[in-house]
Amino acid sequence: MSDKVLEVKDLKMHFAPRSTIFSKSNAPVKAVDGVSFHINRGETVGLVGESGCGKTTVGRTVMRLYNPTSGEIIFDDQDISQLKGNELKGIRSKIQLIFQDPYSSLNPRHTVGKIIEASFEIHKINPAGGRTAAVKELLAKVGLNPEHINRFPHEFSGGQRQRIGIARALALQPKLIVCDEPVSALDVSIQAQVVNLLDDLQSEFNLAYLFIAHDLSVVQHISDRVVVMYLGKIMEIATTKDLFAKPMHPYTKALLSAVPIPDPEIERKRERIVLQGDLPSPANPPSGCVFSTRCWKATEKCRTEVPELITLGVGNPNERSYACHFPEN
Amino acid sequence: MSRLLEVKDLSVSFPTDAGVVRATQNLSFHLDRGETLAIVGESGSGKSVSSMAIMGLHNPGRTEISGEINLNFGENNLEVVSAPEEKIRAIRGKNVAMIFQDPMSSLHPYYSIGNQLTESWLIHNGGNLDSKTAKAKAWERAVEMLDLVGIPDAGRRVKEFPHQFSGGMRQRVMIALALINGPDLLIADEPTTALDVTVQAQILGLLKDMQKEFNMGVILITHDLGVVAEVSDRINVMYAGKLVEEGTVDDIFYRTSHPYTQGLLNSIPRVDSGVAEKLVAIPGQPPSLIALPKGCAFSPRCEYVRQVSSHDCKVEIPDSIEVASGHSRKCFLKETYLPAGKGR
Repeated sequence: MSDKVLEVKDLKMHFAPRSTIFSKSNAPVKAVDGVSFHINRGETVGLVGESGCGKTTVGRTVMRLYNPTSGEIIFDDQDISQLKGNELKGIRSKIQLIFQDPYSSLNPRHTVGKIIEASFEIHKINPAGGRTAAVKELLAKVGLNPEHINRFPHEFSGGQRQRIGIARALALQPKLIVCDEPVSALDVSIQAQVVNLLDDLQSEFNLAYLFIAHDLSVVQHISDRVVVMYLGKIMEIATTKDLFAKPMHPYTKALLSAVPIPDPEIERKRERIVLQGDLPSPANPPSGCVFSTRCWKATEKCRTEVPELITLGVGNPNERSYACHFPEN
Repeated sequence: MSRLLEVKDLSVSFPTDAGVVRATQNLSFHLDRGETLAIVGESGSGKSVSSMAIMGLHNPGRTEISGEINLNFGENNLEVVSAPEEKIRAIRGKNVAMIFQDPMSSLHPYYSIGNQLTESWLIHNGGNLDSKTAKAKAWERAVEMLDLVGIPDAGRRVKEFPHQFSGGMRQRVMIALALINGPDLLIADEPTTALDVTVQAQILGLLKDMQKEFNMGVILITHDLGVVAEVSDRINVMYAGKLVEEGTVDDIFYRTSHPYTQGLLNSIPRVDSGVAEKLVAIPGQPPSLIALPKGCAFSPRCEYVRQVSSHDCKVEIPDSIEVASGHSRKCFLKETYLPAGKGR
């Protein structure tokens, strides 16, 4: 058994647009275009980037909610990118998902007990001591009152609902949980409770998280390593410490500089890199480096030649990668 | 010179079948020209309700409002709570404007950007909506505004529809729409919450520039303390419909005085902190506005309750006490300042 719970190699997910009576554009949307990274057992990898950069698509493709265009998804030493039917179903119990919106991701007509029990039902699992007892135990684990098993989602607050979503994800004892913006819909004081809960559960069950978020301060807090994406491609991968202290890719630097710091004195002194313009369309990405249209360092080389993802210190714990012709530092 | 905005004892409540929702209670604050006041607090703390009241947007049939909201624009003064609808209409969109969180749902999808911009301008300036010269002038003004908020190729894009703009660009259109009549007071309700950080930085910069350009007073409603630290002069911290602490930015961040403010500052991770220490969450949930706890509304979640010997926090309601000039809080605690944020 390797140390890696998940390894993604050159993953591509292109969506072909439907042609309509108005347009016959056949350019596919390259939501994910050649992405490679790995997650070790018990590790949290943050996945950050602006909306539309493909981070959610990566999460969903890894879970095999989409059929990847090409590339490998190696989960637990097995390539799952082409699995079908029952084989796929078996793998799915080991990878679970926590959604962003705790309001729309729970069925309003089912009780909490039924929602969580559904996982057992689907995979025909009968835990020792019975399903109801297992659900109660899960509720207690995520800090909810087990007596509330017969309540409906609307009887809970946003933070509590997110806990229900987490209990559901834990039910089948997964090895990897894909967390897609799990705290961005919550108030700050509740956000901290949920982040702490995820931390505790990770140490208890040796879970690995793929933590997708746009809030860099939360990502920094929870992740061991961070992957930065831009327009379907990876810009940089590094340990959280290295990435935040010494970003190598100009895009990472700009992204970090845009995050406001809750400290007025620091804010007054701060020099900010404000990126101009918006994310280009993934159906029609710029030639060369995809970031070149907004990069202040871009030269002719950047506009014509695609930078490869270069890895420094392969195999050692501080291994880091970047895709840039003119890296910082 | 009198203040641009003075709110006195504002209470807004909504009678419902389940009981009376006390959205805000006895709110008093003020705002001057050129100043940015941030209102922070969790969902349901009354931030948006109070700003809706300033705009006179509550349905009088279903809302109970008491108190005073005095707007002072030099020639055009108004007390909003008692004013008749047509008087509020004359200032809404002209002297007082608002930017909403979600730029997609606050722009009309069937009308072009130019159409929406010119409508607002014509209502307050044109008089005759059918006059060709007034319309031509309005379109000129619309292009000028789009240019001002940094939309490239404004002459062409003014004819486009909301779905043809990106999220950040739509928020720029919203700002142009709010500013087309040169308002004195701008209320920005979570203006950057739906945007990416890189775009957020652009929009906050734009708001600052526009504030200078029009010499506006700005009320910024947000839950993001990073944004607050960046742009505001003074801060109102709200909890369960009440103002629990108010002061300058430095007062709130460096001389934190209310346990709830302390809890808020401690529960946010910071990108510059380096080490991943455990976050200090505020235990429990915000209270229901229908059944507020007795005494101080924060007392069920407050870790200092036991340290207060002079009063019973769970029975008595604390009044506003000035801890320094311009800095006040509602708390019985003996200590004036509490360690928070970086200093904890």
